[in-house]
Amino acid sequence: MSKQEDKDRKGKAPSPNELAMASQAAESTAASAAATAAKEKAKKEKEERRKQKELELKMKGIDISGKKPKEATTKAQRRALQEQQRADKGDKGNKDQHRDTASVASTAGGRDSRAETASQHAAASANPATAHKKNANVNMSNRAVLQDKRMHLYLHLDFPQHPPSSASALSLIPTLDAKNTDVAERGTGDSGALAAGIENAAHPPGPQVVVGMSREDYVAAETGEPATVTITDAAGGPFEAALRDAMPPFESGPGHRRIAKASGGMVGIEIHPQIKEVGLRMGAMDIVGSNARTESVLAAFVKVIDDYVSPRLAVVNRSLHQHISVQINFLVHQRPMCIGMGNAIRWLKHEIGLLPADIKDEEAKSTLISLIGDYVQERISAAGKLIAESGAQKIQDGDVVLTYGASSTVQRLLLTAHKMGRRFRVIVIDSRPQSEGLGLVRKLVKEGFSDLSNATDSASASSADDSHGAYGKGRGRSGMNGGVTYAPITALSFLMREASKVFLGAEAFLGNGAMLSRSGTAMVALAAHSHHIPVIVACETYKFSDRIQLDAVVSNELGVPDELIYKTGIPDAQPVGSQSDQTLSHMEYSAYARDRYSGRPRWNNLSFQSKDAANDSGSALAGGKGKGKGARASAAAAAASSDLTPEAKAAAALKANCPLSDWRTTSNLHLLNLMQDVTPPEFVTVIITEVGMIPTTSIPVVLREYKNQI
Amino acid sequence: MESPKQHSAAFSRELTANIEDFIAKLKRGELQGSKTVALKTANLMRHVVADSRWDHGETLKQLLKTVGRRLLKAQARELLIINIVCRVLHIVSEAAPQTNGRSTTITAAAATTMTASAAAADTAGLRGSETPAMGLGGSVSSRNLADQVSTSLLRAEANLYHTKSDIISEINEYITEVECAEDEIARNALDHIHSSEIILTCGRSRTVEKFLLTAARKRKFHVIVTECAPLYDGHEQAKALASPNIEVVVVPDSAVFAIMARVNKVILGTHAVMANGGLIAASGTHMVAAAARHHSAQVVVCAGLYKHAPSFPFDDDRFNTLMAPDAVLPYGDARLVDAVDVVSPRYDYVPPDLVDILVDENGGHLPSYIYRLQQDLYDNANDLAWNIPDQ
Repeated sequence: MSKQEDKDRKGKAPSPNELAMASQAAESTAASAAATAAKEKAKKEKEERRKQKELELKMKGIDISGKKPKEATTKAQRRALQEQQRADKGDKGNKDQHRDTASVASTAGGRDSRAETASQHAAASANPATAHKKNANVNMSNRAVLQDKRMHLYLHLDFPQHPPSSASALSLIPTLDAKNTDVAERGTGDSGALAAGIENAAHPPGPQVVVGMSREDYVAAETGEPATVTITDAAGGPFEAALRDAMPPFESGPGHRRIAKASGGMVGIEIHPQIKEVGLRMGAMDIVGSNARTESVLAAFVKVIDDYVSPRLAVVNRSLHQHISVQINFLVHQRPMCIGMGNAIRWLKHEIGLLPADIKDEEAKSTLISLIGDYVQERISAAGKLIAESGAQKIQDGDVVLTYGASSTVQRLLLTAHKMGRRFRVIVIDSRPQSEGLGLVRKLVKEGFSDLSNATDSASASSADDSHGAYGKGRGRSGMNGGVTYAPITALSFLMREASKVFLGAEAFLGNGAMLSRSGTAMVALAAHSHHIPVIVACETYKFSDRIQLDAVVSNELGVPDELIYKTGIPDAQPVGSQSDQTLSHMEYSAYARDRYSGRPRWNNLSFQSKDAANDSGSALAGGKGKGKGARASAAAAAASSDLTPEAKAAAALKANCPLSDWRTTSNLHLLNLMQDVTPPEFVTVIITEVGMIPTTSIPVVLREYKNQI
Repeated sequence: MESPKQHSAAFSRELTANIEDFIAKLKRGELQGSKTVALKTANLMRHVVADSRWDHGETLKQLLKTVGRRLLKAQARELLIINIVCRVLHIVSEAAPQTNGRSTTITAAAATTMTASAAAADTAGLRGSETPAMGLGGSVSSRNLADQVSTSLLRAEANLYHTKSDIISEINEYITEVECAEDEIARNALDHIHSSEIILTCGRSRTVEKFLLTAARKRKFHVIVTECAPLYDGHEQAKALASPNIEVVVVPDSAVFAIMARVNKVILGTHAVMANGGLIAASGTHMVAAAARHHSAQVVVCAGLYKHAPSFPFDDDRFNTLMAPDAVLPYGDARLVDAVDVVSPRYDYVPPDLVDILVDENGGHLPSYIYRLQQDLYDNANDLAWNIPDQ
C-alpha cells in the first residue's frame, strides 16, 4: 500500500501540504535550509528508496540502521540551530539572514517567511528553542512538544528504526499514513484517530509536527538529558527542577534518579520490538515484580539473540555484546532495572563474553538461547518451586500468615501450602499507590482461601450457598481455619497482634544482609519484629547482590508523583477518564522516563489537559480514547461556551476532592513516591532460598559460592 | 440504667431538644474532629447547668452524669465526651463548696481562696511561667484543704444563684481554654523546632498545623507529611502547611520507614492522651512512632489538655472503631468484597514508651507524668467511674 502512495506522491507535483511540511523543515533548519534546499529533492528520493528497502528487509525480520545519514544531518541541524540563535541575538540579524537565504534560494526563503506568518504554533512545535523566545504561552508550546512526543512514540512503536532527522523524515510520512490507515482499517481505531486528529489539528500542516521537533528532543528524551525543550518559566509549573526541589535536604542523594546516558554511537542502533514491548510495559508498570521482569526480559533476549545477524567481518561475541547493551540501555530508560534483572543480564553478558571468537552465528545463538533457558529454569522457576515447597512446610494449621504487597514467590508458597491442605488465615497488608496486594487477594480468593465451608470447625453448612451466606458477618468470619483479610498499611499495628508468621518477598538481598523490597516492607518487618513474630522472607538466590546500602534514601526508585493525588475509594477522586483508559494501548502514559519521573505534567495527567481545554482552544487534548478528533475540533467552541465537558466536570470534582491536584502550581509542596525500602537485616528471621533456609548473614557466603561456580 | 424520662422533669424542653440533637449527631457520626466534639459537649454541659432544675451540687452532678451516659451510649468510643464531662464534674465539685464557704468562718474563706487559686491554676493559670513542680505542690495542698472544707460544709445550704453563675463562668473559661488550646500549644513551637530541621508529621491535625506554622514565622524547615491511607487527610495537612518557610513533601504511608532515616523529629497530633501517656491517634501513627524509635528520632506529641482522657488503656481496642471498608476495597468489586475481610481501623494505640514529649498548653511533659497532671484536671476516682455502665 505504501508503495502505491509513494508512487502517487512522486507522480504529482508537491501538494500544498507537502510544501508546508517542507517549509517547516526549512524553518527548523533555518540557515542550512538554503544550502540543503537544492539537495533536498534528491535526498528525499534517496531516502525513499532506502525506506522501501528497509521495509522490505523488515518484513524479512532484518533491520538496518540508518546511522550515517542521520548523523550528518544532525550535525547540520545543530550548526543551523547555533547559527540561528546567534542570529536571534542581533535584532536585525534575523531578518538579514532571512534575506540572505532568500537571495541564495528564493523558494526556501519564501517558504520560511510564510511558515512564520502561517502559525506560531507550528513554529513552536518545529523548533522549541526558538519557540519559547517567540511564544509567550509556554504551556501551549509545551503541550505541542508533548504532542510531538506522542507522535514519536507511535513512530517508535511502529518502526523498529528511529525516526530519521528532519529532512529525511519527510519521506516517512507516506509510510506513516499507510500504517495509520492500515490500523484504521483493521478497526483498532485509536492510533488512526490520533493520526486523524493530528491532521485536523490547529497546527496547520499536521504531520510535520513529527518532522519539526524530531531528533534532538527525541534523543534527549531517550537519553534523559534536558534537551532544547527545557522550559525555565516557573509560571508554567515546576518542571525538571521540581524533582530536585522535592527533596531539598538530600540533593545529592535520594531518589535523584540518574538515567543512564546513551552514548552517541548507540542512538542509531535499533531496539528490538520485543525489547520495546517489554520495556514499555515495564515502564507502564504492566510488568512488575522482580521475577516477572527478569523472566520477560530474558525471554525477550532469547528473541533478540535469535533475530540477531552479526555484521560482516565482526566477531560474534563482541558485536552481540554491543547489540545487547543497546537493548539494555533502552530498558533502563523505561524503568531502572531491579537487582535480579541486573544480575541476570550481567550473567548473560558474561556468557556472551565466554563464547569463542571463531564461533558461527547459529551456533552461538543456540548456545546462548539454551543457556538462558537453563538460567530461567534453574535460578527462577525451579528455585521458586523449591522455595514454595520448603516454605509451605513452615505453615501449620491454624497459622495466621501476614504478608505485604504481592510477591510472586510468597503467592506460590501460600498456594502450595493451601494445596497441601493446611488451614490457615492470610492477612494481606497493602499500600498505595500500587495496591499490588489486591492482586494477591484476588488470586487467593480465586484459589478458595476465603472458602471456609470445608473447614473442620466451621459452623456453616457444607453447601457453597450457606458458606456464602456466612460471609458478610464482618470480622468474625476469618477464623483460624482460613479466610483472607485485607487492610491498608496503616492498620498494620492493629493486625500484627493477630499474626503468627510474617511472609515477605524481596526484590533483592544486599551484601550487608539488608533486604531491598517494595516500600512499606520495612514497616511490616519492624512491626513483626517488635511483636516478636518471625519474619520469613522467600527469595531466590539470583536476587542476591554484593552491593551494600544502609538506608533507602541513598538510592531509591521514584514513582510517578501524580499517583499520590488520587484517593482510593472516593469515586470523584480518581484520575479523570475511566480505568480502561489507563492502559498502554491507549497511550495513557509517557514512554519517556524523563516525563514520568520529572515534575513535568504527563500526558496521562488528564486533569491538566481537561482543565486547560477550557482555556486553551488550540491544543486541547481530549482524554478519552477516540475522542482526539472531536475534542480538538470543538475545543474552541468549548472555550467560548461555558458548558463543561464531562472531563472538565470530572476535573472540577477531582480538584474539590483532592487537595493535592494542583500541587505543581503550589509553591513548596512536593509529592514523593518512593518505591523501595531497605529493611535492616535484624528484622529478618530467616530467608528461604533454593539453597536452603539461611540467615541474612549468609548472603555473602552464597554470593561467594556462586562466584566460585562461575 | 436510667431511662431518659427519669430526669426529663429536671430538663427544660429546649435542653431536651438540644441533648437529643447532639445525640443524633453523634450517632450519625456527623461530628468529626476532637475539638468540635469537645466544644459541643462543653456547650451542652453548660446548657445543662444553666437550664435544668437542681438545688445542690450533688444533684447537678447526677444530672450531668446522666447526660454524659446518654451521650456515651450514642458514641461509646468517643473519649472526648468522657473528658469533658469529667472536667465539668470537677468544675462543679470545686465551685459548689466555694460559694457555701463565703458566709461562714474565716478558715473556710481562706480555704476558698486557695481553692479558687487552685482552680485557676488548673484551668488557665498554669499556662504562665509557673513550673509544673509549683503547680503540683500548690494544688495538692489546696486539694486536701478543699476536701476538708467541702466535707465539713457539705450539709450547708447552697447559695444556688451564686453557685450557678460561678459554675457557668468556670465552664465558659474552660470553653475558651479549649478554643485557644492550639494557640497556646503553638507558643511552645520555637522550643521544639530548629532551623532547617526535617520534621515528619502524620495525617491531619490542626494543633500540629498551628504549631508548625508558628515555628515557621521565625524558622525555615522541611516537613514530610504522610497521607494516612484510608482518610488521606495528610493531603489537606500538606496543603495547609505549604508556605514560604515550610517545604512540604507528601509521602505515602509505606515510605515512612524509608524516609525516617533523614527525619530529625516527628511531631504528631492525637485524638486523645491516655492516663499512662499513651495515645489514641489516627491509625498508622503507631507505625510512624515505632519507625521513629527505630531511627532514634524524637517523637513530640501536641495535644491540648482537653484531650487528656482519665483512663488507662488496658484493652487497646476498646477505644477503637472500624471504618467502612470501601475506602480500602471499593465496593465495585462485589465478589471480592464479599469474600474478604477488610479491616480499616480508625485509631491506633501508641504506647507511652514510643512518645518522647507531650506538649500541651503549659509546655512539655513526659508521658510518665501525665497521670499526675490528670489528677489536677479531673476529680477523684469516684467521679471518674460514672461512665462505667454498671455503676
